[in-house]
Amino acid sequence: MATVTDTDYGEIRGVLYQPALAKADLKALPALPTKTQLKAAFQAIETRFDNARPALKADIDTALGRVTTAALARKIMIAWLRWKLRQLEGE
Amino acid sequence: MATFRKPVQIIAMDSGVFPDRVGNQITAAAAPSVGELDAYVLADGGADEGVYARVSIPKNYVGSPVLVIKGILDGAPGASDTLGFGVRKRAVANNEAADGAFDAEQVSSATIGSSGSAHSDEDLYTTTISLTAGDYAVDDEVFLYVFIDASGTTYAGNFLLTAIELQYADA
Repeated sequence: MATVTDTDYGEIRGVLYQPALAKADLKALPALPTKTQLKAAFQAIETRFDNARPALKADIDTALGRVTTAALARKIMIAWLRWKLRQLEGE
Repeated sequence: MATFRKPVQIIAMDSGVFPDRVGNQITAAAAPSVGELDAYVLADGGADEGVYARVSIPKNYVGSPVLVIKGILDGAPGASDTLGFGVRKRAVANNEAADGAFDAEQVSSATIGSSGSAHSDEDLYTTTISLTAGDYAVDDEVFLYVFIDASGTTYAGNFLLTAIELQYADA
């Protein structure tokens, strides 16, 4: 499981706190989350996703009827994530 | 004794810092307003992040140097949120090597939410860093790195840097 570092926090926060994404929503809050809180939120997402990956690979293997390599399963997840990202941004 | 302030010229910025119209970052009043000004967009990006600047030490400088940092808070601080700034510098006289490591950082951090100075979203925020008087001499060219100090900051909003000034006394 990956640890969200301070550098990772800065990168994710930089994407989040833009007018095109969540800046207006965050500025509408009575107070912004603190750096510690945001970093913990990013870590929670990272942990949940990382923990799900073995089960996701097992589901992919079952669906494909074969044992895929870790690399292929990862690439299938990447393709799905790119599609899902467009879905989420369009909501 | 009189106290003076003179502008510090911002020359360059870290890769994570960018200049932008204030009105692109906050919902400003109709023009003419502060929204038409440009500012440097700084934030605690997990590591120190800032701008490079320079200032000449004036003829009437005697001592009591203070770095004054001014900008607009972009995001509502939490009650106990802190915002820290730092400066590193190299003061160079004529005929002295311009290149060389900047001096060790000097930092200052303050609670900007309701538990401290009670600043709000889009307030002007002014803070100071006390400098070492003996580090500067008349006519020195001072090269500075002024930055948000990540280790002294919990505030997750942006800081729209509008000005840096050198404050000093003439006696």
